[in-house]
Amino acid sequence: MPETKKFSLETHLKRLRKIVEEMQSGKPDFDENIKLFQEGSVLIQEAKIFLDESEMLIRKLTAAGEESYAGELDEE
Amino acid sequence: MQTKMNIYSVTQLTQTIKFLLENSETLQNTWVSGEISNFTKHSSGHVYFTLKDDGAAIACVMFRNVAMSVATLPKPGDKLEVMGSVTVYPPRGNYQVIVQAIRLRGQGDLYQKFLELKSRLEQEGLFDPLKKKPLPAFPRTIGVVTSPTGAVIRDIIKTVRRRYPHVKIVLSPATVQGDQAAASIIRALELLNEKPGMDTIILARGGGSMEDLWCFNDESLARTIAVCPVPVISGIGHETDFTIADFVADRRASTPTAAAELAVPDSKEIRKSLQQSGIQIRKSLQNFIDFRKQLIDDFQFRLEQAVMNPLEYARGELAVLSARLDAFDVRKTLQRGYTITLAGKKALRSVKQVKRGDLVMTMAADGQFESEIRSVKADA
Repeated sequence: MPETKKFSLETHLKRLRKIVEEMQSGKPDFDENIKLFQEGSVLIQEAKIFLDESEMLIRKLTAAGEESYAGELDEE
Repeated sequence: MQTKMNIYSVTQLTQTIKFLLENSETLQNTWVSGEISNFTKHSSGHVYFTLKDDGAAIACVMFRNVAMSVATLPKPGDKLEVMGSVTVYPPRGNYQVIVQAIRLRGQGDLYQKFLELKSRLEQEGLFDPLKKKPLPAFPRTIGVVTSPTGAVIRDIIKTVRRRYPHVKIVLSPATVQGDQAAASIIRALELLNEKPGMDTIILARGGGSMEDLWCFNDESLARTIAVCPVPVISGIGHETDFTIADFVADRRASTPTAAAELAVPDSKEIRKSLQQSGIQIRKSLQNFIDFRKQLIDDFQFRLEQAVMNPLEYARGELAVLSARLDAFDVRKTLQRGYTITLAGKKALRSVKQVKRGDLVMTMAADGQFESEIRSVKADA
């Protein structure tokens, strides 16, 4: 995400924690609640996409690593 | 006149001789030195030989269990020192030494010298475990001091190449047997120390007799090893051989091949452990991700709860309000059997709202009808 601020999973989680706490406190009025919900939903989507992509990357890298091990062992 | 004389039987006489010899302290568990002749190894495993010198000869028997424990069996012409006890063999009327241990002549002296030097150097602190240098885990260059010919250098190169192919091996040839050996080994070690980048030095020699390995008990060699700035691994002789060089070396390997194994890591092991680390890293990353996925699911749940609760509450309020509104609904009135009459848009509540000729609309439960006012009469 170069067009916006750099994505950080931990920052997202921190913000989400805050949003949920605030909403559960019952302080915000209805409109504010909806706004917070919208913001939270976006954060959740972004975090999920990031985690899925990370998982795929790890799978790809491990697969590549295992292949290279197998290749070297075959030479012997 | 000789009738009174005591006459022994042969057996009785032999028994007496046997008793005298076998209870004599000087003839039991004693060392005797001589040269071997008439050596016979019986199929039973027992060994028979004669020990002789210029003036005499004595039969010796080495039973199977002793013969098997001797590193190298003696051969005719060997000058031996034998430890054993004199016994008598009555059927033949001869005596013999039952051998318990043998050593080459002079070996006893050598061993004594070895022990003296060992304890002296030990007291000086040359064997101090704290002074021993650790071996580099991943050496780039290994120096080998050994004979340039023979199996030892080949075994070392083979072992090192198999385990850790990219390491550089520098051979510093030395004579490893004989009078010149110690000096030759010292020179070879010094040559290696002059070379830059030396990580580990292997000092090796194949198996041999105690005399063969004697050069490794040299005091100057011990001191050279002690001050050697590069860690030294000794691999001299077999498992059971210990030399001064072994004690002073930074690590002692039981054989030259074992020394080579100590000197370099096994790249297969390294690869395996790298693979293990890879799996570990992947696992912990996966755990990290799984944990955060759960966290996010939880947030989503709480977020939805937090937004839905007030919504549900509002919906509830709405239901109550609409029920109350319903109570005012005209249709409910009509359904109960009443009608409502409107003039224009206003419900009629008073005669004053109409006059003769006005058109009014009346609503009933099942429809509506229009009427014209024919007369208006107010109550008195």
